[in-house]
Amino acid sequence: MAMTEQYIHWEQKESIGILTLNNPPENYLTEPEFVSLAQLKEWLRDDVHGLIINGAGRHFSAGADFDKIRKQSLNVSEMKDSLLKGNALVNFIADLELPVVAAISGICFGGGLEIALACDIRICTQRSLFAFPEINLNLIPALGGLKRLQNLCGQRNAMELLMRGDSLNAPLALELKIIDQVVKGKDCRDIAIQYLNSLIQDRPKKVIQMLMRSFRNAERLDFEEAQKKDVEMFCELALEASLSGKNQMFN
Amino acid sequence: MEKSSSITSYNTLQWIEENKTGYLIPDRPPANAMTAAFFAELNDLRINKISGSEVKAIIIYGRGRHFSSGAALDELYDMVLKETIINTEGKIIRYPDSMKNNLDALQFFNKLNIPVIAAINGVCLGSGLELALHCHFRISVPNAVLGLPESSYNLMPGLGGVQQLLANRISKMNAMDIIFKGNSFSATEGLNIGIIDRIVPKNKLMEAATLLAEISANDYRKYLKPDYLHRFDEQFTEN
Repeated sequence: MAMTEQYIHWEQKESIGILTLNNPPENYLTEPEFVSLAQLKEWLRDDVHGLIINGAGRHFSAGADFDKIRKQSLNVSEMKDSLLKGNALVNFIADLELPVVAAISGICFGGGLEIALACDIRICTQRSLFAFPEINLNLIPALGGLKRLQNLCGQRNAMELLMRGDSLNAPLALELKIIDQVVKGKDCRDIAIQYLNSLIQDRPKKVIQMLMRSFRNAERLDFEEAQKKDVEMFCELALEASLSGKNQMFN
Repeated sequence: MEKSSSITSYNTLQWIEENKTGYLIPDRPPANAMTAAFFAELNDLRINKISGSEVKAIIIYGRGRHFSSGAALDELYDMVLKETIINTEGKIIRYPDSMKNNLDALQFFNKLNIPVIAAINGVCLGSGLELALHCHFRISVPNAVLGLPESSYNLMPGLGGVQQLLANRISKMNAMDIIFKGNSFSATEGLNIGIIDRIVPKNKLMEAATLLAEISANDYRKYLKPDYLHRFDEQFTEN
């Protein structure tokens, strides 16, 4: 099953959804809401157990189309609206109760990096490059990337990246824990799919959802509150497992 | 100096106080499974013994060859079936008190203002590892077997293990690997990802744990964990 919105390609391979930024060669994002949130929700059917985000061709994404931003910036309220929509989309991805893996080839700048940072795991190629170049245009990242970057690499490194706007190569990004794995070769999509599959295979959707909720809770709830929620989710799963065990006995 | 020592024996665990150090020993070898009785006795111990005790450090290790293989699943299922209350729409309106008490028992150790050290002497799986993760330090023998296999049973770690893993600032990828795949891993892997603090030879485990307890007991929480481990490294000799 494959579907295409303008600049976005969607494909589902068994239980894995693959969202491809499809505006080659640089996969510029023409809108902060780079895929319609409503459309994405529709694509994420019950039988999707994990999500890959990648870019078509050689690059992940070079980020926003600055020419467009410049034109848009003449109308501040319109721009604010579109950024808020972008925020809602990126937060939706970050909150998904599914494991989300970014497969990053080549350039991953600005809005592209914002998207990658909203994923749970980032796998890239040796020639990938990462940057928040917004500062060079006297702008700042607007989709929550600053906070997410800070969580991964700490205040100091995040400040350096943001304020200098320099780009990082893959080994450096790995060292700073912004990237989880660097793979050989030009394309990491297949490796990302394989990896995601190794996480979710044989796991019922409910277990996947609850595990991911537990990970999300770690970021949004107080420590003990999150542990209490884990107990409740555990009981729900155990109840289900014990009931299905009993049913099997009777069958 | 005069040695003072007292032993409290339960059916499933033992508590020994010696030289101001408390030794908590899951005591159902070979696997030291964490049964309902274990948790009930652990709760009794923490409320009636440890809370009023004058120990300045606690060391937890399993009787015999292993730390603990974790919960007894059959018993757990029975407890959840018995204690969970569901409304007519099938929604849970009351969660089992036993599970909450079990979590309280583990959180108790994490919240103590004295150092709590897990001396992992063998298999340490499931809620066994969750107990170890609620400790402030984890020292392991080289051939320990660690893991959170819950997802293989269509469950998840239920006693705060996910949150404790993440609180150790291990990468999300490592945490997801451990929790989703449910595979067991070695002490070395545990050390590399940052949940095992030190690996010591099997015949030195208790000596190492006791040394770390001595080092950290007097001014615990005044310094950061790496500071105590650094002092430990300066004083501990393997031979």
